[in-house]
Amino acid sequence: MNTVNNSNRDWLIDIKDLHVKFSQDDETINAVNGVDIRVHKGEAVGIVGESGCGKTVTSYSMLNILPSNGEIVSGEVRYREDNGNVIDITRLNPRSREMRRLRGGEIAMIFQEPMASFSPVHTIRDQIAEGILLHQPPKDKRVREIIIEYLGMVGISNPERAIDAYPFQLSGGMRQRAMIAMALACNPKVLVADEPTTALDVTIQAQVLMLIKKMQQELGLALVLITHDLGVIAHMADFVYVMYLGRVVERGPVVKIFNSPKHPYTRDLIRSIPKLNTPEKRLATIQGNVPDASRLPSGCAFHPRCREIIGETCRRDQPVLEEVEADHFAGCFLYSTHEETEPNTGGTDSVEYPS
Amino acid sequence: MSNTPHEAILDVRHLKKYFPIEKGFLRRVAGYVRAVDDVSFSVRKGQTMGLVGESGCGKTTTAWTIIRLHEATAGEVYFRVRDGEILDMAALEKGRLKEIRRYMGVVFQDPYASLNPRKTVLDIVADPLLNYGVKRGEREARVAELLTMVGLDPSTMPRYPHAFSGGQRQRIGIARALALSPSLLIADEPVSALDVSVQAQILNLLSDLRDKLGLSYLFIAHDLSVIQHICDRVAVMYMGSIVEEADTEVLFSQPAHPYTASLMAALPVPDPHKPWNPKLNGEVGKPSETGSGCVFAHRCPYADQICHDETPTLETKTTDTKDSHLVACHFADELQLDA
Repeated sequence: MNTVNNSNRDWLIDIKDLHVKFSQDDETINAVNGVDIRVHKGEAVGIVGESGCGKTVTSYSMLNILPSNGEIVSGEVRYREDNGNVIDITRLNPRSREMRRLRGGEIAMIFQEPMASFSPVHTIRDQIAEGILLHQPPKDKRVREIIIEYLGMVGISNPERAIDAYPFQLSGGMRQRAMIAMALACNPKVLVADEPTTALDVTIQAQVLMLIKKMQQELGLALVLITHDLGVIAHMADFVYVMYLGRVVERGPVVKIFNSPKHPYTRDLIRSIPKLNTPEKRLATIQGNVPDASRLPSGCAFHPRCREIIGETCRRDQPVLEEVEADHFAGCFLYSTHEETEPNTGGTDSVEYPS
Repeated sequence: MSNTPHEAILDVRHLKKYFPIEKGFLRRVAGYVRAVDDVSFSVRKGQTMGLVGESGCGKTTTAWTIIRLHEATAGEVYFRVRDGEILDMAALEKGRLKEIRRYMGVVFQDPYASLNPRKTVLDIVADPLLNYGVKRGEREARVAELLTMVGLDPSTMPRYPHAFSGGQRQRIGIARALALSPSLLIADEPVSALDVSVQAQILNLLSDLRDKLGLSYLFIAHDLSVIQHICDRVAVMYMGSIVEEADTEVLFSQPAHPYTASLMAALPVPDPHKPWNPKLNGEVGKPSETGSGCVFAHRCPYADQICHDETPTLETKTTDTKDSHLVACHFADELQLDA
């Protein structure tokens, strides 16, 4: 495992106070409510949370591919190019030439359901070639050779044949490998993977995760891995963000998150997983259900389910992320350093990164 | 019946379910998918029997064939009715089948797809009661009782499924399965569609109900950690066959089939300090192409010539002190596998 989030290293993606809302049937859903995430060169960042926590929306914001009823209300998603040039992705038109250059060329994405995210009527070759021709049309080699090379690299046996296959002719694991090949074929700097193995069987999941890890390390990529599976996070991420209802509630190096989780939500989440070879016959649970994102609880969004609730403060005020130990932050009044918490007004809870 | 210390409530013997592959205009049968190929196991009274395996291994088909949503190609399914009578489910005629089926409840995987969105909770949970002629006046009281039992407020009865979260919907599904006071509950991946925190609630609920109502479970899942948590005994399936069967504790501490060991190694444990060394290469083969030899031979790191030639039978592992550890592997007594 790499050394963890050393903030002095170069960052590639810097999300600051991101707010995203969705409108649906006259209802506004605040999917992301002030998220700060920083991704460094070569680092594997894990974003973990249950359904509705905003992890996928956050990842879509990095590529500016929100669905048409979604909107970035405020905040920045900055990307730093090799030459030091910094671009705020939220200010780009999703269809602009500039955004298209970044998307796929600099920041590539692997989606959850490989069958649904490939076009069923084009061959693997056509779909991978599209990206290569858009981003870096080859000068000396034929596109076909490049594609075969990448398909071989991701462990597809007999790539000369697989290249002309349609997605439905490949197994789930092979389709996900082809998707990884497609993402890597344009030499991106950042790979965003949204639940890349959730649809796969456990032995195939292991193979695909190992492949992603290997590619990340060999190519020096930054990886943003979005998952609900703490087991996957534990073995894939260097640095972890735990999200709940549109906010980051805890962030820290992977070892600290698992050794000494600070936020009551993280603690309960880790406790509630059935683990192999533990004698307890009863699982710890988190009471209640994840509330509807259109009706967020007041104060700390976790307070109705929290076992460590302190009092009125939790119901009234929004906690900010506080540094609990070196490089490890939790957004909970248990760690509040202020005597009196001030009423929070949007935008003031952005977090300062030590530099 | 088996000579186990607990009497079996369900005893599946040599169950087979082959699906024909039809080809061409005349729908000529070109071969068979052996979805379930000679599977035998039993569910003991008051216990939870687990079936675990990857997609396509036949675990769901096994369950569906037991309750006769599929007709078995061959084999027997002995079910012990309340009064001690033992019946072969696979051979019952339709009218008798309905009579017996009330003793088997089923919980399905997807709580979003398995509840009719146009029916209220009352109608959904009362459906089995209606089907078995329970009077209108009694139905509502029974539904209220069932909802309380699964941790829902009976006042939610007039609401529709969309008003409930995934975990609550699965509670409704469990209430429906329990409506006729079954003695056996078949749960097919009941928690795989749920969030972790909710999954724990449902697993605890299922354990409580089993103890309180004296139920027996056939529990189907792909997740080893869930299986280990809730089951007393586990059968591991691969391509239509059981490759290993043992009491949960034995299986997880001394797996004897290479496939069981690879499944365990593939699971990422939520602890960054624990090593994670998944080793298994290749993919599950096509169930239509099974020939002779061990079903796992093409992926097995220990496979020898005999594995490709002869199909191993499920036999008691001789080096094991417990006689209830069954393994289908030619080298079961020689291999030293890590848990």
